[in-house]
Amino acid sequence: MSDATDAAASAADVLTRGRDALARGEVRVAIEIYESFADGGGLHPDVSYDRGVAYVTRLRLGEDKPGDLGRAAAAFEETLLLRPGDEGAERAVEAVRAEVARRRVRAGSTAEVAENPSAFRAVVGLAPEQVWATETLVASVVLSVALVLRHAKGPARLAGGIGLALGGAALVVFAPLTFAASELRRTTRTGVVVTQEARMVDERGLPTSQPALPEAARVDVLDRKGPLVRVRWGTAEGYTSAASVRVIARP
Amino acid sequence: MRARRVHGGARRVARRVLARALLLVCLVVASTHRALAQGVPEVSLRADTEQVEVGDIVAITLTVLSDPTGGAPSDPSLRSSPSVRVSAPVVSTRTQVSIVNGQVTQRVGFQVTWQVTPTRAGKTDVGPVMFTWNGKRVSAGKVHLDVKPEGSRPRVRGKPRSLNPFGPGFPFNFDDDPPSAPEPPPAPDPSLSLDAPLEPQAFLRAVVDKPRAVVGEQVTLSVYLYVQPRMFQPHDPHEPTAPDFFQRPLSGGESDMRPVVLGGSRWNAQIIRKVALFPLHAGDLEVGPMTLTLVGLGLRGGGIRGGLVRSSRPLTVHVEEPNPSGRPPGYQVGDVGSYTLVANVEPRAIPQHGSIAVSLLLRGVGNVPSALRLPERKGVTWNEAETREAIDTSTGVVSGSRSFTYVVKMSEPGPIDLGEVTLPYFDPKAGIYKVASAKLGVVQVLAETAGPAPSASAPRDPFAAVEQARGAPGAYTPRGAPISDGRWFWLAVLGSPAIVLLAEGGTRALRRARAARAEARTSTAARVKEALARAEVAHAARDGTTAASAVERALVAAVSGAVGVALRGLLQGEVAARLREAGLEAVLADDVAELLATCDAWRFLPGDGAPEGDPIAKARDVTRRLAKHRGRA
Repeated sequence: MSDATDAAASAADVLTRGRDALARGEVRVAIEIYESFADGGGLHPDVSYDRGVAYVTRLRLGEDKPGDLGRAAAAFEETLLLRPGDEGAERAVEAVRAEVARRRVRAGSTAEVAENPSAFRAVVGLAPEQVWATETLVASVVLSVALVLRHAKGPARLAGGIGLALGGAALVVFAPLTFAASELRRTTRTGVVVTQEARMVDERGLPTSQPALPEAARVDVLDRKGPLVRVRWGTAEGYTSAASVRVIARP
Repeated sequence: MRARRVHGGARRVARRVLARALLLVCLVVASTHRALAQGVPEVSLRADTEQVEVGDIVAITLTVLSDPTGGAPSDPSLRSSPSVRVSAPVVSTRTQVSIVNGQVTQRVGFQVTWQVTPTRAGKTDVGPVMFTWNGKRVSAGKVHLDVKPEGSRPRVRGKPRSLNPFGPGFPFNFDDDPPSAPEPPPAPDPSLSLDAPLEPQAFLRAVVDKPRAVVGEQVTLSVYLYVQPRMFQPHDPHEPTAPDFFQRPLSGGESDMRPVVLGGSRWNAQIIRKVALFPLHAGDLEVGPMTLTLVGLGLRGGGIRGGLVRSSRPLTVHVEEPNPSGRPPGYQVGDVGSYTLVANVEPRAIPQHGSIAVSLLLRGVGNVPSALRLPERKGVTWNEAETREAIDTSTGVVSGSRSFTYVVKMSEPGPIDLGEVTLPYFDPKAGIYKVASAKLGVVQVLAETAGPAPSASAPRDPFAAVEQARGAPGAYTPRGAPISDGRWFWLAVLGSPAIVLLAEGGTRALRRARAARAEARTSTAARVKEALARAEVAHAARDGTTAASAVERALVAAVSGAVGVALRGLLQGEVAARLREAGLEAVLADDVAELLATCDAWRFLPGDGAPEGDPIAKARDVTRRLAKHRGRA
């Protein structure tokens, strides 16, 4: 059996055992089953989703522990990272963040849980890296063919001229975007805050004037330094406790 | 008479003393009762023995419990004195829960134990022992010790002290080991041997029993002191730092001095510290040096009282997490050792919304874990546990037990199977994961006649948008690495247009060079050929002037093509020398000069006169040789 088949069988087993535990009311057992799968390096969007559901169930029963909202959001974010466009996970993570916002407002804090990324990050994030890379490659091929055709005669020469303009412009746009997306992927990881609030500190661990990160906030994890991680939330950047942020596994 | 009066007086005094004693007892009882009624803490201070010898270890235990509403006691301390040596305290929190007729009462506090070693003979008071309660320092009194000189009583090993710290009422047997036979005298310790001393006069040597361990596995650190035979006193010890480990001092951490031969000379050596270290995380974890100042004859240095300062070398222990393969659900990293778990549940039948007491005893070898996996059942609520621990470090391996007592509230009627309490742990000796477990059995919960009224309006579910667990895997193909990760990607993206451009430019340059060369070649030859043809025609028409000019043009073109020299700018006498300078063979240069001179003469011959020989044939020969020369160049 191939590795992919093994992984699917393992995920099926985990999903069955977790669902049975949830049906018996053993929420903690279910969470442990899902978390063990993740600790062992297992990755499956549906296991991540059910892990989020288990934390939500604990919240529904009122038996939640601090950070459960963040852990649920992290699980749903993981589903979305593994399977972009999963509508169930999108709705679930929105519901969790809405609940975090409600609780923050009730506690007299601000309601912001999601922060707009910087303009550069927003542009790079308009499409997946694979899309930028494919477009760059296509632009390169068009430009190369156009360079050959421009010396031809008749309609081919016209096509060469148009291709030269379009291919060149596309390459100028898409190549930097591909490079930026690749660099972002290489140098950052996605994380979610899994404590009620994560204070931003400087490199030495001293408090800064940066805003505290709310629970369930999605952050870019840039670096790790001992017990601290360097994170970016919107345009704010600083260090926070590594235990406050769950780094989301990626395929 | 006098004797009777004396007797009567003595009786009166005795009665008065008795009456005062009774009054005192009544006052004490009344004040104690009043104090307890006001929530004053319950204090117990005891020593395990009062008759000791110099060097014996006495355990002094202070237990303080109070009503949680009156504030929890804290911050215990024991004032040391020069006649005793006091170890660091071992503190455990205590919670006392009693259930009488379903009424739960709770008292919280702590138990702290000091190990005290008398250093002088005689009667001595240890203490006072103090603690903080309600913001005030409260004295728990002193402990009186009668210290005899060392060796004044026969050393008889009795039955080892019971491991049960919870009293005879606790439902588990701790003392199931048979009484041990008297131990033989200690054998010489081979671990003291070394090839050569590490430093002169004295040195400290720290060793760990294993350089690699898993998180939570015991690593034993031993620090040895080696001194050349002389009188000395140790001072100002600085313990080894190990922030990445949980530490537990081991009994027998200080041995007697033993003779040992190092590098041919006699030394004395002893163990001065023995500590069990439990790694808290993975990595290369460092154990810092221990430093000690030795004051004595010939031991001079920069330490306290001019003593010799010695430090052990730092050590590194490589720590890994146990293999994740086969890890049972709920395993907490750090739960390492070998454990058994037993449970006791009382009572087995209760009314609905009543409580039961679940007592669990975890015992084994290792740093006994402080949390268990409790079963979850609908309508079963586990309150915080009261925990107590009893740790045995006498064998050099940390072992012991921890009891957990839970008050469990049961709100659903009927027979409720409580399930199983488990503790997944890693056994480092076997190298596998195991699970200690205890079944709790069934409790009969008797239904109430009238249950609580359901709430009129159910609260809004903020997670209504979250669907149920999926329970089965959907389609999912892990994404491979993006194509931009391949090394070829940027080469292809930037290389393909570049290659096209380079190829195009190269082709064009080659074409141009070829054309230029061809043009140069064809023009020279054509001009020579055309001039010679004209000369032929003019010569046939007996037009000597035109023929001479044509031959001269052919020569000029041929020389220009061959060596790039413009003949028209030269005097006749300079031609041969200039052509030789330009690289033409001397014979050919002379032939060119001679032919030019012939042409000059031919031009001015009258009528149809012609010079001697055939100047046109000669010109044809010279231009052919010039063309050859150009080809060679």
